[in-house]
Amino acid sequence: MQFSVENVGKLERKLTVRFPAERFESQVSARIAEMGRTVRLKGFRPGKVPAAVIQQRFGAQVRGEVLSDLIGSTLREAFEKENLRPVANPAIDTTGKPENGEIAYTATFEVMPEFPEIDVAALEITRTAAEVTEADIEKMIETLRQQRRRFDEVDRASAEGDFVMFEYSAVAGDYRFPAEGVERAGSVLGSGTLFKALDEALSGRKAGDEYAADIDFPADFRNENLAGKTAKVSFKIVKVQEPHLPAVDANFAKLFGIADGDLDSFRKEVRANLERELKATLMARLKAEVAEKLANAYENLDVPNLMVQAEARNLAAGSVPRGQQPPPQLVEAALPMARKRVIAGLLMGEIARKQELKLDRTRVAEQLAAIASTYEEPEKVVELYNSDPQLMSGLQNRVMEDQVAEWVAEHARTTVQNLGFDEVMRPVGA
Amino acid sequence: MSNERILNTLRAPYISEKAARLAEGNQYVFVVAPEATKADVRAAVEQLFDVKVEQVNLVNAKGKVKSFRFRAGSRQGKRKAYVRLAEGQTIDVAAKA
Repeated sequence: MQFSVENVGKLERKLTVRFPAERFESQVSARIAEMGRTVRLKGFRPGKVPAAVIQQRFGAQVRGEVLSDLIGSTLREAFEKENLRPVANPAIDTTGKPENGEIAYTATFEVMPEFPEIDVAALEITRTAAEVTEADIEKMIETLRQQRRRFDEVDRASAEGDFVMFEYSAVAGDYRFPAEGVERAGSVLGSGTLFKALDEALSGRKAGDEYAADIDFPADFRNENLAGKTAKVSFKIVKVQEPHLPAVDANFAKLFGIADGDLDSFRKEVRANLERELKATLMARLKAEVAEKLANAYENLDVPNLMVQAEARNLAAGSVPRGQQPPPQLVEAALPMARKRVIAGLLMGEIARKQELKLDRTRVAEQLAAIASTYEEPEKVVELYNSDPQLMSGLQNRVMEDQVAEWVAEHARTTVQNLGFDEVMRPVGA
Repeated sequence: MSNERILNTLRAPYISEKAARLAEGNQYVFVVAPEATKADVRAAVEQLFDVKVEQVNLVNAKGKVKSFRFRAGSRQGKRKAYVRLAEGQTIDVAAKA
């Protein structure tokens, strides 16, 4: 086997490989003999199909298979000898016909860029730190109580926080909503589900009240015929209900899976949950920070075009419904972002290799346990991950990224920024 | 012989171990129309495959008698043609099959 490498572009390589046709032919006839023993054809007893018939029937298919096998193996050989690291699959161009007793093909592909010395120490990384405080737990429990509140019917005027069920019809000019009769609706006053004018019109009324009011509908109201108009709305209050927050007691704790209703263990559970979420968010923040800084520091790294294209397509695909082709201009727009991500990804991979960071098994197990613990049957989730190599490798990748991000954070000029729990959990810019 | 008759004569190549062995001796087997004559088969093969036919032998193969729920019935029979081509000529049966 002979091969020669040509440099086409900065990262593009063209590899021309020739191998003797005999190697190909002997494999083809071996494959055909093999098929003769196994294949079942109508009109022939099993194992009695003559080679000529198989050649005639499956010849083209067998030759194609053997050719792609040979190309694969010779290509790997060539890559090893030349020490090339291609990204993505090479594009193969071949006639597949022997010429002068040799079969030749060319493979065009892009190689991994040569990485410069990655100077992690020059990076300035802001690491966010936060802790779960008692106040955060208090707040979380309060939120949980809000979620579990109960409404009881009362015979008094409605006030903020009350649930009001009412029937209404609105008339604006010639338009009436609903076209006939009344529409029934319900809302918690002051919760922001309805707009302010409506909330005001509904407060201070008792069940059974019937009245009419002029309401200014906001311009962005979902019913176009009423949006931005003043309508005469007639109301009939059906019932007013008062919210009751459940007391934080054993029964409340039981709602959240604390069997013995012990409040201390309930608080502990809440704390564990918050801490897990906090940890995940902090890690994600750190990872994003490291990736961002790395990509900025090595902005001019030559990256394989193919990878950028693929990443851009991925990014663009995220913004259209599943299974649809993203329009080309979206892909175009995603290119700069994709470039950054590819750079960051490549650099992080390179750091892992240079520093010989090993995948930390215990960390994978920890992470898996953390994921599983949010499900009802943790053992099943663990089992699922263990049996599905795709899920598992995804998880391992995440852990590896975590490790690299942490390594970078340790070795870079890191400033720690202390934030409150709420500030961390709220997404940036929201 | 009319074009229609030529096209109606050959039904299918007959594929079997025997046919595969005979193909090495330049003899090809076809299932032909029940009313086809040796002359029909010769004309059909010569025109369709553009070859020279040396000899045609015909066989009527009766269908097997099979019983279903104690009633005897019989499968369809077929008429086979063994066509020997002139020296050096071949038919790619698989390509037509």
